[in-house]
Amino acid sequence: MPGFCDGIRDANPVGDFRPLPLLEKPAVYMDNVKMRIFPAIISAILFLCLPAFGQDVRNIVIDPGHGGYETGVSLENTKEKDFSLALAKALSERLKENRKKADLTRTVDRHMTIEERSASAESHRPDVFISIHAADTGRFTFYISRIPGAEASGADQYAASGRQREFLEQSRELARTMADVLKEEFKLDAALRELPLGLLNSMGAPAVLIEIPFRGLDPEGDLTRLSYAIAQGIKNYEQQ
Amino acid sequence: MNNNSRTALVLWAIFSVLFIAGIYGGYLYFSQKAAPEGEEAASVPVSQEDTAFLKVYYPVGGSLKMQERPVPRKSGPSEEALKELFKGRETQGAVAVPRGVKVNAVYKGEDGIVYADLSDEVKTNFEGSALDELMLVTAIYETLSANNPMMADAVILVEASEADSIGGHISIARPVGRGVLGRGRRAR
Repeated sequence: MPGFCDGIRDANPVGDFRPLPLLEKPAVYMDNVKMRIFPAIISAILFLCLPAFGQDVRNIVIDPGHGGYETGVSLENTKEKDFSLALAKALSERLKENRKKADLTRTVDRHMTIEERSASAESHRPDVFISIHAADTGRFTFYISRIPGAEASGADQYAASGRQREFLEQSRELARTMADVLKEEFKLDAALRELPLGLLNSMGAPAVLIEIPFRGLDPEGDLTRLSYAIAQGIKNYEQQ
Repeated sequence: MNNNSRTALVLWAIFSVLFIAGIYGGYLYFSQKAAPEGEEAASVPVSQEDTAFLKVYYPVGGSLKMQERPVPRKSGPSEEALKELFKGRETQGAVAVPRGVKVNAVYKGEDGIVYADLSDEVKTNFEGSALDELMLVTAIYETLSANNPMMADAVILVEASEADSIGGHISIARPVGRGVLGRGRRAR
């Protein structure tokens, strides 16, 4: 099939995938050299082409930003901590309608440290991690992780922050697919930034922090549209 | 001696006593004031030797803007520079700098790590995006580093305690140079 595997290496590094044990085992029973090579070739083809069948996204963890005394930005009567929790709950409902498992790092108005959020998210073993924030701007901003420099990520006490390294490309792709849907739905610009955010750096899964603009949309009235658009972005990412 | 002469004599005596008392009082007053005048003059900044020019990094938009600010030599240069940074919101357009932040103390540990102890307003008055918060943390780090060349790294404390973050995005639980910015040196 021409072009079937085009671009696979760019979007999904080969190192992200596990070997296929069922295709390695038959070699034990085969004496013929050709019969050993044949399954290896099939195995290699499947190994390289597996991403073409889509991402495996079953568990999604949603992190509503801020909480408790940490209110985040405020616009008139809307506080970022309340908005992010409301949107996270709405998004969770949309994902469950799509037969996904969705968990929240917090379900009530309480403060959590970055480490507590990370531990809570990791306990659900996410396939995708989304952190929801808001900003007093007029465009969507998508943040993905930037791992601090080589000196900082060496074998020392700070090395734990680098788990995101092998998922950076997938995180970028997830951000891009969600941005496409939100831009189309709300006719607003979207920006992608890489920042050394401890929460994202510690995630062992594709991870994106979204800042929803308080200007240019109605934070409360557009909650349902926002949740549908983000859920659609995750669905599009899964189908790529 | 008639009455008029006697009255004139008494008045002259009173005037003389008052005159002498005035001269003596004036002598005491001016002699006491003259002594500490030299000491007081020494404590007032009179020359440029009492002024330090410190590098302060202000977060403006998505980048840092460096300015050299003249400040009187009172405490250490890092502390004075940080105070300048937190004064800078109005004049520099540095909207990511929260209002009313006090620099409680700046001190250096034996391992070369500089600790900046800030008042709680740095958390309660911060309102900004993840990028704004990163720029503020970077401004604090660069301001400390520029005025303390031997600094190995920097830790931001809030009311003398370790803090999770300033605004909920960027972790400051560890030294920010290596933990966030990838810039610090290995502590000795």
